[in-house]
Amino acid sequence: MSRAAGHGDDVAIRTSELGKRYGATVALAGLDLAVSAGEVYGYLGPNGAGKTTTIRLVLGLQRPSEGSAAVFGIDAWRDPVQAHRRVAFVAGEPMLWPALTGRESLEFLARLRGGVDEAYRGTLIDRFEFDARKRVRDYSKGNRQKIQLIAAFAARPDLLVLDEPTSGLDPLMEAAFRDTVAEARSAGQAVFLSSHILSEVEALCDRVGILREGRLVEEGTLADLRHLAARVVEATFDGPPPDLVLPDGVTSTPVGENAVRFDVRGPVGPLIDRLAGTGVVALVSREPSLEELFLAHYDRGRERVGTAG
Amino acid sequence: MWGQPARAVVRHALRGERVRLSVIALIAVLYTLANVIGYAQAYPTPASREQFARAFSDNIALRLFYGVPHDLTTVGGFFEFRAMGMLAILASAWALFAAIRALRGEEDAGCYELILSGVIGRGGAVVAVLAALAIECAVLFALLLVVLLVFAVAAGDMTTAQAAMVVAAIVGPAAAFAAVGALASQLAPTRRAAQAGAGIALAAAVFFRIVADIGHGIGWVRWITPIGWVEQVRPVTGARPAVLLLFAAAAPLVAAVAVAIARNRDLGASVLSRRATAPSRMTLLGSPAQAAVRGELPSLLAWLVGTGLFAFALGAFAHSVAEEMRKVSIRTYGLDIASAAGYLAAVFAIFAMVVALYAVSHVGGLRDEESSGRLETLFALPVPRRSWIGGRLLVAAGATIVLSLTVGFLAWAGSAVTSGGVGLGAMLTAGANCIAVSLLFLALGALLFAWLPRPSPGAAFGLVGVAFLWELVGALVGAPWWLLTISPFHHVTQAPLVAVDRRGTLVMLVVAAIAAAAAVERFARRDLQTG
Repeated sequence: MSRAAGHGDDVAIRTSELGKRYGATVALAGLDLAVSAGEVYGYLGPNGAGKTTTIRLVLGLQRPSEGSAAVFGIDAWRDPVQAHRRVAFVAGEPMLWPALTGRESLEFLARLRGGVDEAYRGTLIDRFEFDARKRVRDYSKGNRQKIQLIAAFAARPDLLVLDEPTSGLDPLMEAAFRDTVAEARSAGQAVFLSSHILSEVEALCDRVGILREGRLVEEGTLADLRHLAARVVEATFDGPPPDLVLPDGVTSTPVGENAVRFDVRGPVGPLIDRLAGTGVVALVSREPSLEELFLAHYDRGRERVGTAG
Repeated sequence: MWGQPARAVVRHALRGERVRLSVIALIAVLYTLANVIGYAQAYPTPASREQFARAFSDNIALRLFYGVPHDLTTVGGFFEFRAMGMLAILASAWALFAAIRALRGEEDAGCYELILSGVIGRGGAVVAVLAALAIECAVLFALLLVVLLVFAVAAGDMTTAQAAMVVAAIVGPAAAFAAVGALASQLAPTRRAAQAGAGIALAAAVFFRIVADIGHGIGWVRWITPIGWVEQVRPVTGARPAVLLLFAAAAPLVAAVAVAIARNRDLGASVLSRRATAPSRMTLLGSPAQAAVRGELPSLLAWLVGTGLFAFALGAFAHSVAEEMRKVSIRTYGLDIASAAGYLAAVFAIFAMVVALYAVSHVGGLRDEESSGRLETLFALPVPRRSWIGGRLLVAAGATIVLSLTVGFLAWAGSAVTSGGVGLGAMLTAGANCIAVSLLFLALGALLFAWLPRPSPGAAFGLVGVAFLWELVGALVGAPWWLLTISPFHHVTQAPLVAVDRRGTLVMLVVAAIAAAAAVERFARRDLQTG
């Protein structure tokens, strides 16, 4: 789309010390983010962690209490219109005009933007198997979500901000969504994807940020995060598990009667040495899934809160 | 039957209506006081009351507004004529729309699904909402009764039984129209359609009452609708309490039909269904303001037809009323209204209020876009906030001007059909005279929306209501002139009989422009408040 001349910043989203308070409640604090062109950034966090607040600040819908957010170098609050020429947004709750039909809605959203790639829009309508003849009030949530997705991707913006975009979609449509995001990435578009669906983030995202109580607690590629986290080793024994003296950096959790799960930080060798000759019948070693990483962060977070409070 | 789930639904419905109920109750109490105290102050002696009664007993225009007067020489008789019917219409309109909001409105919004997924049946949920409305009607009954007991019964102007009957005749039709609202919610597929259908039913009821009161020998028409029954009760001048039984029978009967339909229909379905697909029209989608025009047209048409018919009727009767006025040579509002133009000038104040109400109804439209989250969709696009709110305000202002001039034009057309004698230019002036005050309220409403988005739609209506009541009541209670001039309606002269208050009009327009500009700037700088 129209690249604003003079704003040569290639970073799609950059926030510095971004924060938002609602009265006494701190919704977001000290957020430093940078999302580059051609990158899919996964934004994770439980309900109320501040994901939607971040998006509202990045879109200039609300004024930061501290710090700033910029889109392609354009301040999100001071010059939202200029910034939005290069951005498309998909809200978690699809909010459209109930009296318009699907086709009218797509046309309205396209004209407000000043034109879209109509051929690609046709492709997307087919891909998402969208029937554009009904009125918005008669569509299911999933179908209203499709209107937003089609309108956003058809605009071919430099940045897509997606807030839990697949919450109403069935698995087939979710696959169509993943294809569409992959196309956007290969076209050099940046995608900021806030999501609860960890498998989706794992499949799509180059980098991941994890938000907890308004603060970014972890950020990096999935490989980085896995490197920091413990590797999982599950051992099944021919009888009750033996009492082992565990090497440093290894913790154990019983799994069922004859199995134990070990979380290993650092090399696996010392643990294997200890297990030798203990009657192991099966040994599985794998990297932690994103879900485990995510849950681990939250459990540690809770402990920290517990000790701090 | 009255388990915890049902009680929870009742409480939820009461909570959702408490602010609007308070506003309606306040207006009803003020109107009651204005009439009870106002009459006694304006006509303190028997002689003055006799003269007033002689002048107005046969006044056809007053019959059109209020009904047939039976005794205008007592506070009770005057109240029965002047306030009872008006308050009955007000309470009925409130109850009608409250029922639709709580039933079809909740269903449209998807909240009803949650209620029905609880341990409460489809019929039970409707019964619970109606029970909440019954409680609200009872509150209104008690409040108005106390006001009459303190200010009319204690002064010896009414007996306790008369006061109770008056209030029952006000609240009775409200109960009946609450049931009509519940029925419309089952018949119509959307909240808007239910409101339109039920609104037409109420308007028709008022229309039949008017026809019965101004026609000759067709008094039986009054028996057709609940608004006509109100007049038949005659609590003070003929005590026919048996008529009240009609309300007691009609409300449960209509409610039972509504409950029976609710019990047997699918969630989201309706008796009158609509097509699954609709043709797409691609005009007027180029900007939010264009889309606003598109969305606004049906509502503007409804206001044009409703208000326009009323203006046409007034115009048509103006000549004959003026003739009667000439016989008794009375001056009202210090004006010579013994000409058709003079009479129309005197009653045009009501249109200033109606057009102002229409103007502030747009504040609700602004807030609806925000609370529904649609503004987030819009402002994530390259749509400037200033151009959105500015465009919407211009559309609202344009529609307000169209309504004002149409009212003036149709009042002239009505008079031209019957007798003529009123100039088109004069009536267009009278219509244009409603514009400045209405735009002022629109701008003040926008200012409320910019600063206090959540309560702004109701507050904007309240502002118009309070200002209009103050203009009616202020002089009666002997308020000093500077307090009277606070109400913008004070600066709306009785054009065309009296010259338009050019300075006042100019001041109102300037204040409106400043308020609108302030609203635009404030809105551009504040956080969106969704939900």
